Amino acid sequence: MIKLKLIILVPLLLLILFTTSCIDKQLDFDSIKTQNWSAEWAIPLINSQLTLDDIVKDSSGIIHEGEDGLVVLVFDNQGKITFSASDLGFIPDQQKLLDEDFIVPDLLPGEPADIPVEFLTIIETDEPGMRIDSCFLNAGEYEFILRTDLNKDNAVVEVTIPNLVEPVTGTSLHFNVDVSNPSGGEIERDTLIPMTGFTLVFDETTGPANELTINTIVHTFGDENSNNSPYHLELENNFTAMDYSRCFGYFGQQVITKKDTIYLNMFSVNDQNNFTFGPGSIDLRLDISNSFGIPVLLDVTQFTAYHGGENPDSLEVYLFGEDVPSAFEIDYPSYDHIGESAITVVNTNNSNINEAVEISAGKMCLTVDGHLNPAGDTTANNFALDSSMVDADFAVEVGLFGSVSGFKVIDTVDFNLGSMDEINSLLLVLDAENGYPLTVSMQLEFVDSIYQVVHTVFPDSENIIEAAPVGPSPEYRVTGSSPKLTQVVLSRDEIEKLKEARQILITAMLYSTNNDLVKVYMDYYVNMKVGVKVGIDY
Amino acid sequence: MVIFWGISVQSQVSRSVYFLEQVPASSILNPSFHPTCNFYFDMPLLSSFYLGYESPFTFDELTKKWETGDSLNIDRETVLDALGKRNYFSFEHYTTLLRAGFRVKNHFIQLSISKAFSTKFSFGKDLATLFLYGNADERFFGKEASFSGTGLNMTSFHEFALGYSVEIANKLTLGTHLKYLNGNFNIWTEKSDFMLYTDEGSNFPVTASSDIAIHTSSTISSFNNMIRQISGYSWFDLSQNHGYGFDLGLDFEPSRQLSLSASIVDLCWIKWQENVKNYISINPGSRFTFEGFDVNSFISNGTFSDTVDILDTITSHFGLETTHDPYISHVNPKLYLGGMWHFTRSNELGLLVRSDFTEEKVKPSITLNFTHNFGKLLTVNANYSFINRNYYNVGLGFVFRLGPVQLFALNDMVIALFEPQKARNYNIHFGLNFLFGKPARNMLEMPTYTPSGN
Repeated sequence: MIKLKLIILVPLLLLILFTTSCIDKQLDFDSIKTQNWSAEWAIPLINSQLTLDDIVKDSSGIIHEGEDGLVVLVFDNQGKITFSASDLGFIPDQQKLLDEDFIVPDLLPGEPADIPVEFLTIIETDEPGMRIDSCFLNAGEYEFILRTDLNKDNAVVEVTIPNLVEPVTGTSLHFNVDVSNPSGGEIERDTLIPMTGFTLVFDETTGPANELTINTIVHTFGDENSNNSPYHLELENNFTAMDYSRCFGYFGQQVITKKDTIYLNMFSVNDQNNFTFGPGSIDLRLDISNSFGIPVLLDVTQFTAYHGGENPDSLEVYLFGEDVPSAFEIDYPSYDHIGESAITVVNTNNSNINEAVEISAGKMCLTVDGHLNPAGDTTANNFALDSSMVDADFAVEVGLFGSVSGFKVIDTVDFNLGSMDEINSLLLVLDAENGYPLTVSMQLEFVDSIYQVVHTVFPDSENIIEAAPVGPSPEYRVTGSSPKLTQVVLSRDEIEKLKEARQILITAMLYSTNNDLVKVYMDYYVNMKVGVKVGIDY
Repeated sequence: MVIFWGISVQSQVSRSVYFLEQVPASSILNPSFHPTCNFYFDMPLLSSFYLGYESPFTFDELTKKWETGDSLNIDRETVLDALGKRNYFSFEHYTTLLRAGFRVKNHFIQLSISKAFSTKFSFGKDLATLFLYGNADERFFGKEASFSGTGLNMTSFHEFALGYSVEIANKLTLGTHLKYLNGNFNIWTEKSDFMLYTDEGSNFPVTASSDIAIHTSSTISSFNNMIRQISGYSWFDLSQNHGYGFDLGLDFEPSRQLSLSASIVDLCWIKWQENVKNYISINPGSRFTFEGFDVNSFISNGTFSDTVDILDTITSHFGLETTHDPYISHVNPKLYLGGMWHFTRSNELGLLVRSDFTEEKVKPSITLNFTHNFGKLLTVNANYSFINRNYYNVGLGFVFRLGPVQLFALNDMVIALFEPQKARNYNIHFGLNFLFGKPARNMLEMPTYTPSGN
């Protein structure tokens, strides 16, 4: 029996020992070290149909569609030369001291006397020769200070100013100042009058321009005080912060200078000037509106196109032909059209604006002098409202029609790969199907902190987008699209080098096939697909 | 109302107990088994306690030693070699809260209340390969790959069983269990089929489809703190999730030395209707091709957009719709075929073939068992099993009996206790019973065996 047990038990124990003896590792999770598994993942990143609007991200509304569907770049809403009512002169702050003596006759006690005293003064204006016929005031203060040495128990100075018409009554400004002064000596009375709503009226036919008349009457009675005639009456007139809502008269020959700049950012990025626009593709549009009732001559004293950046290229732009002054009069509304604007459209067919764009102008600087009443007719009747303005809109319209032999764009972007140790290989695929008649070549150079190139993506600048074939004139429409598959391979060593890179120098060149004329239409697009196959270490 | 019908749960105890009919828990595997006593009851809560864990690979299979040094590395090829087409991690807990039985002549009646918890995460080898090698690997690049069978199944239920067995002519015993099940909570992944195709051309567009159906019946609100929520369930909450089932078994003794047995157990189902949520694919099997982001929607006015249309589209396409339709799950049935050779009074050899009918396939396992009785005091058994594509399953167990007290502790994978790195499976099964009385006839009395030649 014991032998039988051994026969059964021994093999069983041997089996246990055998299975356990094969084990040479312990259940020790801490001894498991990091693995270097490398999986390769293929991921589609981008699939987009890109129109010109998408590519340039036209947030400022530059891109427009012409009548024939051609893409037209309109650079406006920037070169606005504006003269507003605040630019025109009016009545500056001023102080007018007027002084007159008057005699009070000898009076029996209680006997009345009315002694008129008239004051005249000229209201000064910002612009010499300016004539104010009438002005509706919407701001300003008139401080009226009266001083006198009249020694009467009971006396009042009645003041009337016919040039200032009150808003409610429509009558001349009229008020009384109590100057009763039984003890004698000089007294002072101060009156502050808000001018808002008053109308300032001058009548040139009865005197000099802008002459202000202040009529006063001294009312008094006989009393026991001694008569010290002649008495002294001094008026201090302080006008401050005067402004108008409407003003009629003659504004003189003021000259207002304004400056502005038209930015053509789309062209400023071009590093070279290798493109030519087709005939009639560029237009300088000059639309001016004027709501002043004043003849105005605009003189464009400077119109310079600059390439921008460090490129010193510049060009003087003329409007009406070389050596022809860029000055022109603009229309203005008549009395019958107060509050309206007169529009002036300037013909610039003889301008050299196309030459300015072809130097890849990044900006155009403008200086414009506005001459009021250029004829100098002082009898002219001008008017201005507080909302009046001259608004000169200089717009450059560029139809995308021309040939491009190298529209070169260079840009630099910061780059830091960081600690992407997990990526051991990278294959970037660009699959472009281009409906534009333009080829794009590109180079990406990764440079380190001292601008040494650590990696060049395309050893020879490679076309990543091929131009679509172009049909005959005059439409120059593409007849199909051109596919192009580009692959960028980065090995582990190259990725290691990229870790040293701090910037990417991007050079992109845009050109039309054989420098032929092409047109870019609004319905063109490019289908761009980007995918990546990336090796990742776990 | 839609009634889903599916499989989701296991319910099992150790294989070793099949060879120990004197242990009342053996009737769990074959209802014709019952102890050789007139009456028994089990220690409440400790009558039969089972914990089991299964993994698709062992620690040894997962790791390799570096050529230099003592450290280990996880080699992905080794991992994939260890995986089958379908793989799973599972954890099971089965405990009998109360069990008792008594004999009436040749009839034996048993009652039991048990609680089962089972969780299983399944995944296919292809999915692991995709994760380890990526979709640009030659196995997937330009080829259509299907991934199915990934999912989580989890359940907890109470089992109320009435057992009956009858001995016929001293040779044949027939038995059955009639069961009422009460479901506590359930997560059932009915379907989780995915298709992935990565185009080799252009920018590698990816086409995918999904067909997902997941059913839950629980108060679990999210997966973030699921364990805490599960542990928050009361030990003995009863629900409106009712289920029924039965087991069938027979034990045939053509001679005193030989017995043959067979059973099919866990023919059970539960209708889940309390707090039910069904997560069903909105576009099942419908293919979607992702060719990349549209930069126009990605970048708006020079800045990155907060929302990207394509992501919304993808989310919508692969989204899940939530319904609240009751569904039926059933416990994995198991078929046991066993034989015992009582070749001496104290020694027995046994063979057991167990087949698990799971949702994926029939999973057979084989166990060879030796049992030795050291008198009436102690019974020791040792066995060897081939389970779950693993050969290192040596089990040991003992049954200690002192008077009416019976204590047993069993294990199908004892190697896991000593060398856990070699084991894919871990389990332990123990309990404490009280047995009283002897049957009128000693059915286990064996003739003295004398080997020939001695």
